[in-house]
Amino acid sequence: MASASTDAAKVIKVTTSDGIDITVDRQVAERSILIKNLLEDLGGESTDEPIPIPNVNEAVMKKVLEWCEHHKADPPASQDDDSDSRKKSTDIEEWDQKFMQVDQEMLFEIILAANYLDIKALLDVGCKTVANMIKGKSPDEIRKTFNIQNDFTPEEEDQIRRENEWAEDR
Amino acid sequence: MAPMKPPLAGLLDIPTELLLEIVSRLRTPDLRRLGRVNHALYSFVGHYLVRYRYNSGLLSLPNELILAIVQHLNNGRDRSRFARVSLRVYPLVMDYIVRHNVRHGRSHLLSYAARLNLEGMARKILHIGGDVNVFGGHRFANGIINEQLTPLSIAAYYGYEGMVRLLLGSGASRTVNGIRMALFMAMVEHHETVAIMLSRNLDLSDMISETRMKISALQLACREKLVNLVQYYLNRGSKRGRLSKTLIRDRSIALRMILLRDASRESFVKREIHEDVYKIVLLLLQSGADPDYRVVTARFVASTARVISSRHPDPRVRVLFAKSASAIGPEESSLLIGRRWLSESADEAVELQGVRSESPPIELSTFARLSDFVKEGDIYTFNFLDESEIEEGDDQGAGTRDTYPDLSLDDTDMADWRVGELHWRRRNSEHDEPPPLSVFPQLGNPTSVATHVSKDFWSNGSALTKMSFRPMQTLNVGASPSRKAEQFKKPTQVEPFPQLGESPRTSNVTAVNVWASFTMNKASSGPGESSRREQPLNPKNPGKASKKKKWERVVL
Repeated sequence: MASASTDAAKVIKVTTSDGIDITVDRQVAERSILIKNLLEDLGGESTDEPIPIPNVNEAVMKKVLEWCEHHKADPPASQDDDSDSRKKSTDIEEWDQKFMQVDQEMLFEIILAANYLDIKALLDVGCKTVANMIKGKSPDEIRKTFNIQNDFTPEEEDQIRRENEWAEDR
Repeated sequence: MAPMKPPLAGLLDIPTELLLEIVSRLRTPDLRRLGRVNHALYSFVGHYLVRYRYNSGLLSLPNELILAIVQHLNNGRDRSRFARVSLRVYPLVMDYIVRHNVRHGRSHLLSYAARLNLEGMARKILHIGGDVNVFGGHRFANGIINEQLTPLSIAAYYGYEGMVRLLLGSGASRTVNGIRMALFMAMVEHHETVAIMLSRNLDLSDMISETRMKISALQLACREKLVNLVQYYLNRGSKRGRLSKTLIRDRSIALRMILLRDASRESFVKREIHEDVYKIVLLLLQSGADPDYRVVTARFVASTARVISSRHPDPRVRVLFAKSASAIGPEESSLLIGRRWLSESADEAVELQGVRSESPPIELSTFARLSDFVKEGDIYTFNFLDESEIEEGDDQGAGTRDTYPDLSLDDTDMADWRVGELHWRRRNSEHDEPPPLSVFPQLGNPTSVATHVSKDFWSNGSALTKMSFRPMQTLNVGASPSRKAEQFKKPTQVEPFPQLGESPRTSNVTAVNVWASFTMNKASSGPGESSRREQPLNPKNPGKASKKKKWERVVL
């Protein structure tokens, strides 16, 4: 681990799915558990070689790295507390809220990227953002919000209505 | 036999590109309908939807991310609404909702599923490990909320057979706090099939509830007129071979119960057809129910099923009882119909507490005596005998009559009498009647019993003196009774009813003697004067008088 600590200040390169190399501080990149584990596995030998991230394109990668940059000083979330308290609150930091003010396509790309890169905190923020968009809306409003087609047949519609009356009673 | 021409190209035979072209013009619901055609199309449509329809935005997220989002929706309503957005997320989110409910919501959704007959949902909850006996509050149509209902009870209430089967198969308990709630619900709501399903493991001697409702399943089934269920119980009971005493008692009470439902309390018995009642009564009588079984409680003695049957609107039911006692000829049974005083106590008998078993037909013997007297062609004999019977009954109850404040009659009752109707309550009546005949009254000797009984009665003078609580009314009894009747009737009429005219005074020696012993008793128990004053209240005279009129009317 000695090498890791000496390399801590170094920069690394990542290659996005569209073939663009992005240079980033290693500390920032290590917000991603995927990249961190990868670097640890490599043992710090080939840090010059760009790390391929085939699932994320440049635009999204930049966005993700922007978030990582801002949160690079955050203490790593402990494995324990991520179960309940994290999920319960849908409060989002103000900076994060602004950060998430993107079009939906980007939002979902960020969520997917966060999931792929294994950045729990970012994934949470993304999911919370989507959840906040869903809250308090009727199914129809949700469909409109996310541009989703109603794909139920009338019979199915009736069935799901019956299965969900409990939710509307209270 | 080889096909002469190649088979026609079907939808499945065309190249995938063409199929995609066709499919791209379909809306998603139609597409899924197409997917239901067969397995090949199903998987094709599944893949197509994932690739081309659910390929962007929210729906393109993998399941675990959708669930991650759902986890952040912290109330059930938002989750449910999100689930309803698309079939892409519906099964996924519903699964989450159900699991969450089982884990954190004590699986109350099972009650909900039971209420709405959502078998798929219930099956899922049970599969996940939901509590099959969870208590769920339920609001009935009448606004009553019961918090103590299991899903099984709810399903039974609504008569959902499949749901009941599912819940029973999952080990749902049939009793809740010692109450067979589900069975009770099914019966009260007349869901016979469900009730039969719920009765599979029922011990027939069990009560529906050990605490609140002391009523057996058979009795309840009778009360609710569930023919098939009654038949089911009776068949099951008979499989065990010889009928136990409790079983017969149960059936006898049940018989009484079903008759009580419709027995008329008015002076006029409307003629109606009750097919279900007829069938059940027939079944019960065929399987050992005793029409002359008498419910005796601390407070009162109820009239027997036979007596009640005489007030039943369905003539066939009345005839059944006439048939079941062959000693009673058709005329007697028709006479019985008019005798409403016999069934007056019917309504109180519903609360069955402290039922005690009793020896065979009592009413039967009464009727046998009646028929005997009919042969002599004297109406007054009827009067007398009926009365003696009544008095005997009151005799027995005399000691406790203070507890029945409503024994006195009101004005309307009196009015009824005036028109010849006997209308007074006999709460404390008839349970210690003459030594009963055998179950087959035709084998006995009615006449001798009758005489014997009458003497017995009159020798009970001391008790008779206490009968002053009875109301009376003024009626002119001028008719001269037959000799036989006179013997016993005179004493009661002579003294206490001076206003009734002189004719009854011409009594024979026997009567005078009896009366003498009578008054002696009175004297010993209290001042003669007061007993005189009290005596007019005795209803046996009005009873007699009115009955005379009545019988005349009936006979004529």
